[in-house]
Parts: sequence; structure tokens; C-alpha cells
Amino acid sequence: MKRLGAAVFVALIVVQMLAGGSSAKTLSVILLSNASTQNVIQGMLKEYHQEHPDIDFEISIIPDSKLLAKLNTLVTAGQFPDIVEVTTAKIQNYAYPALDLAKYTDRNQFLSRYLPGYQPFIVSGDKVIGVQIEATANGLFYNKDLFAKAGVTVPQNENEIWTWEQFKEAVQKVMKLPECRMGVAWDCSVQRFSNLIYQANGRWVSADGKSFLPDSQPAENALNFFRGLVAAKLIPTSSWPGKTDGGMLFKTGVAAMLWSGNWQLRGFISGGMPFAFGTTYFPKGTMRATCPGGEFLMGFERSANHDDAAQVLLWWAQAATTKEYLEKLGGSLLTPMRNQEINYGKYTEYLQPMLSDLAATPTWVSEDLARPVVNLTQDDVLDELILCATGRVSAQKAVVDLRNIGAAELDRENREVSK
Amino acid sequence: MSAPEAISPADARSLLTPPKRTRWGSRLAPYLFLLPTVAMLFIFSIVPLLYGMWMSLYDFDIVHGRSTFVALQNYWRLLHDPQFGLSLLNTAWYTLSVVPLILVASVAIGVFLKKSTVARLIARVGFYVPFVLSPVVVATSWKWLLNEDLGVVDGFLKWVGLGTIPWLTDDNWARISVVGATVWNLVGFYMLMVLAGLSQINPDLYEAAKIEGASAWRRLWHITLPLLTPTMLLIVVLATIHATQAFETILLLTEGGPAGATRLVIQNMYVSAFTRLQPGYGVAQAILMLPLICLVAWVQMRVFRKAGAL
Repeated sequence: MKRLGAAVFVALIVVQMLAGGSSAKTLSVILLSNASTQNVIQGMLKEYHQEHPDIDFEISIIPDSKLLAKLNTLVTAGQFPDIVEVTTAKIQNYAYPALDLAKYTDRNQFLSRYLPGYQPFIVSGDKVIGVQIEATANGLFYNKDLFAKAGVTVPQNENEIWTWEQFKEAVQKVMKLPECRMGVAWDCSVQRFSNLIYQANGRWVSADGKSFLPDSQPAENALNFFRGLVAAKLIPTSSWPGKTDGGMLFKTGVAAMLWSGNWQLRGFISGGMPFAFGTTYFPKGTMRATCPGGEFLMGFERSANHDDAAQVLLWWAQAATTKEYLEKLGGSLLTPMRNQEINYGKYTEYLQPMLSDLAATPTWVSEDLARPVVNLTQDDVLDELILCATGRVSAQKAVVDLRNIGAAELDRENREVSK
Repeated sequence: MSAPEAISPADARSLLTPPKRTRWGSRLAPYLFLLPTVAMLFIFSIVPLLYGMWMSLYDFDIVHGRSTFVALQNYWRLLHDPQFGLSLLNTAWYTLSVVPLILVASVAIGVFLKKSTVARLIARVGFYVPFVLSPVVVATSWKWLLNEDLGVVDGFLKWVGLGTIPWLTDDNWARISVVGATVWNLVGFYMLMVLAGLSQINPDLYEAAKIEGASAWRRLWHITLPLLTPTMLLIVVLATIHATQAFETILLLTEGGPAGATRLVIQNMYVSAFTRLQPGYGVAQAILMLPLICLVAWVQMRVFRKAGAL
């Protein structure tokens, strides 16, 4: 018996050594913790491993809020991960150390696969710094039951789109219902406010990248409109400045609308809602606009396996892979690719107004949102927006303060670039 | 009972003389015993501190992998940074609120729950449970309880006709809320320290005082509190450390808001280092805090020494 045990033990060691001898490369991957996407991405990477047995993945999953701390620590220590999942706000911060996919494929042919509105996120100068795996758009949700009870109809097509004032009036009417305790649950973030800046035909950074809030009038208009919504209590204080997640507030059924994005759909539909809801078009200021965004995979020039990482990224950038990923997610997220038919299934009806808003949004909006300064200053900018929204500083003063915040960061950025 | 054996002078001399060791061995032994502790202290405290001091003299550009020596510019910038000034004031306000409240509450609860009846044992567990909860649970629970639109607390106030309070959305109320949540979270831990301190007091003292006709208040004032002073000193020191390091609960409860009203220095450091990607500037804040914390600790020691607790 002892001999048999010893033989099995030796056999196991030999098998393990042989397995180790196959020398599969292991790529380190950092994914964002997201209940709806992390398992699908892991499944896709397993699929890649099956097709390429010499490549394996060691996956760490961390929350988005911890990503910067983790990534900066790794980057400072020179321990670059092979592949990282990042969001719109962060990808351009790592443009310099990013793996340039243009070295591995034809740049123009690669970029031509993506919709123009999403290209600015993955381009930095001549470099292609990542692969967009899914696209998002900000959008407007409404509680059908409350709107029906108040006798208010939402725009059903592009010809009926509300102006800002009409939007405000509609919410005010619904809020007169005793069961409607909140007007618009509105995520407290710079990105969600940015929709108003763009709808006012303003931008955070000038086209040449040298000044912050270059046009004061659109910014003041956006700030004044927003401040009016907060002052009229149409935006609940638990949203602004309370920072309570808008989706959670909307789910309670006592909010007329939610100003958020298409990523909420999966939770709303699969989780079930205690009321009927729909989506509609964003109101227009001077023009129509929404904030595009999404999630990306990127590599680093100095990572140990950057060539293999590039091959994985290029595999994901194929139309078929992107389509497979999005359809495995059930269709709640958008495709960033040109001419790609995705079966959005049960989400189709809800996504239609958001896709329309996206189509009406000029490309420079993405360029503006992709600027690193917008992300690096977001805490200070949000504080100033809160001060303005709660009436403690005027819109004019807020614009001056915001310009100072942005100018300091742009100065620093320009100093670094000139070195 | 036999008489003790007499010890000869020679034996006595040998007993009093320490055993002979080699000269080097006897000199080295104490240092070798100290070495592991000193090495750990050096590696995990001194080296990071020196590295931090070195970092604070540089402007790091993480994304470009470059660093520029800026000497004391980061410190100079701190002196003119209104956000750092606000976070410093917030930290001082938070510490000066949390530490006395924790001290008073833990002593009061400890004294009240000193006797071991079943009801009091249950109450002790009740007070201790919040301490073992994760800061995420603590902050999330309070965030929903204090929500101005949907929270239970404001719902109750409205129901009894008192109107709502902007617990987390008004600067002053938000400061009060984070202090309240912190005290609720930590008081159970310090209550246990008080109970341990109380168990060390000789019950005869109370007995004697009672016989002499001392009231409960006088017994508390003249016996309990003086004899509890060393425990209270420890509570003050530990609570001060807790307060200056407070991060997760506040971050999750208010994210330092509204508009920076509850942002403490430690969160300001985090934002500088990890959101604005300026680690040199973030570390400079930590280094600047070091003499301030030392000063606070020194003042505490002086006060307690004067009070005879040390």
C-alpha cells in the first residue's frame, strides 16, 4: 500500500513537472469588479487561452475606486501589469506608458473599425493606446406610472425633444403628485453634469488644449440651469450634494426621472422594478449632446509580456470578438464599432433614445472628455459645482474658480510635456 | 522543621558573581535580543519615513515616469493651498470633537455597565458590536439612515412634525454626522478598556466611602475617576491616533463633502497622490502632519503628567 502511495505521489510530481515544462506564458490582468461584466470578460480570456494554449492569464479583480491607487503603485514600482481594464476617465492618464497598438497593426485600418465618437479615447498623438470593449452613453430614465398619473408625456421621437425649460416644467408637473417625492435622481459627478455643458455648446478644455472653460457663457448657462433645478428641489439633496447613487433612488419608485446611463439597464431589467419605466431623449440646450464613454483594455510598453498582451488586445479588437462579448452580456451595453449589428434584445427599446442622442453628439465632445485634465481635477471641480448648485457661489464666480483649478493643472501638464 | 543550612563565604561569593561569559558575548547579547525589533522598526518605519521625506522633495510625474527635484516647493505650496488649510481645520475640529466625546461616553457607559447583570451584559455586547463591523457596513448603514429624502431618521422627525435635518448635505450637520458615526463605531472598544480599568479598583475603597456616607457622585468623582486616570490617558492617546487616521468611514459616508466640509488631511493626501497623481505633494502633507501629531502627543503627556497620571 505504501509503495502504491509513493508511486502515485511520484507520478503526480512528474505530471506536474511536465505541465510546468509546457512553459505557458502567464499574463497579469487587472479587471474592474463589476458583477455584470467581470465573469464574461474572464470567460472570453479563457476562450483565448483555449485557442492559444501557450498563453494563460492571472486575473486580479479590484473596484474602480481602488484602481488608480493600485495602478500607480505598480507603475511607480516598474511592475507594469500586462493588461488592465480602465474606464473613460482614466485611459488617457496612462497614454505615455501605454502599449502602442499601432506598432502591431495598421493604425488607420484599426481606428476605422471604431465609431468616430469613441476614437478620441483610444488615440494619443500617433499612438493607439487601447481597445474599447464596450460603449456607454448617458441617458434619461423616467417612471412611466408617475408620468401617466400626472398626465405628462415624454418625447417619443426626435421632433418632440424637450428644451431645458420644457424638461423643468414637465418634472415640476410630475412632482406635484403626492407619491412623487423626488424630481430627477441625478448622479453627483462631473461627468453627469458635463452633459449640460455640452448641451450649452460649451467645453471643459479649448480645442488646442491650452485653456480651461474657454467660453464662459455656455458654462454659466449650464451652471445657472442646474442651480435652478437644485433650488426648485427638482434634484433631491441626497443626490446633489448628497452623492447617493441615482439608480438606487430611482429604484424606490418615488423619483420621476433618473439622469444616468445605459449601464443601469441590466440591473433595472434583470433585477425587476416595482413600476414601469422607460427612457427618453436628453433635453436640448443650444444643441443636443450626451456624454459617450465606455470601458477599455490596455497594455503597457514596459510590461513583461507586452507583445503577447498586444496580440490579446488585437484579438479583442476584432469585430467578431467585440460582438460576441456584447451579446454574451445580453445586449445592455453598446458597441463602439462602426457598422456592427448587435442584437440588443430586450434592451433595444430602452437604448433607442440614447443611441439617437449619441448620434447627435459631435465628436469633439469625446475629445474633450478624454482630456486627462478633466479627470485629474474632478474632485476640485465637483466641490466647486456643489458650491454653485447649492447657491453658495454664483455661476460667474464658479466659472472663475473652475478656470483657476483647470489652469493650475494645465500648467503642470504643459510643464511635464515640455520636459 | 530543620534549621537552614549555613552558606560558606566562598559559596556566597560565587552566587553573587554573575556566571563568567566571554567578553564579546556578554556585550553583544542584549543587542542581539533587540536586533529583530530594531530591524523591523527600521525597515517598516524608519526607511518609509526617510523615503517619504525624500519623495516630498520631488514632483513626480507618474504617467511619464519622471521626477523633478523641487526642494521645498511642495511644502511652500501647502502653505498656500486653501484646501489643505481647510482639511487641517477639519482634522483639528474632528479630533477635538471625537476624542472628548469618546472619553466621556466610554467612561459613562463603562461605569453604568460595571455590574454584571444579564441586561448589562447584553448592553455591553450591544455597544461593542459596532466596533467589529466593517467600516463599509457602518458608513453605508449611516448613509441610508441619515438620507435626507428617504432616511429613517428624517422620516421619523417628519412624522413627529419636527421637519427634516440635512444630516449629510449641510456643512455643519455633515461634520456632526461623521463625528456621531465615529463615536458610535468606536465607543464599544473604549468601553471595554474602561471596564478593564474599573476591575482594577479595589472594591474596599467604595465600601469604606459608603460607610463614611459618601454619595454615588462623590465616590465617582473621588475614587473612580482618579484611579481610572491611566486608562483615560490611554483612551485619549488611542482615540487621537484613531481620529487622525480616520479615512474609510468618512470617505464612504460623505466622500469628504459637501464641498470639502468633512475632508480630513488623510483624505486630502489620498486625493493628491492618487486622484491628482501628485504623490510628492501628497507625501509632503503627511510629513507636515508628523510634527503636528508629535506636538499633540507631547501636550497630552504634559497634561497627564501634571495630573499625576504618569
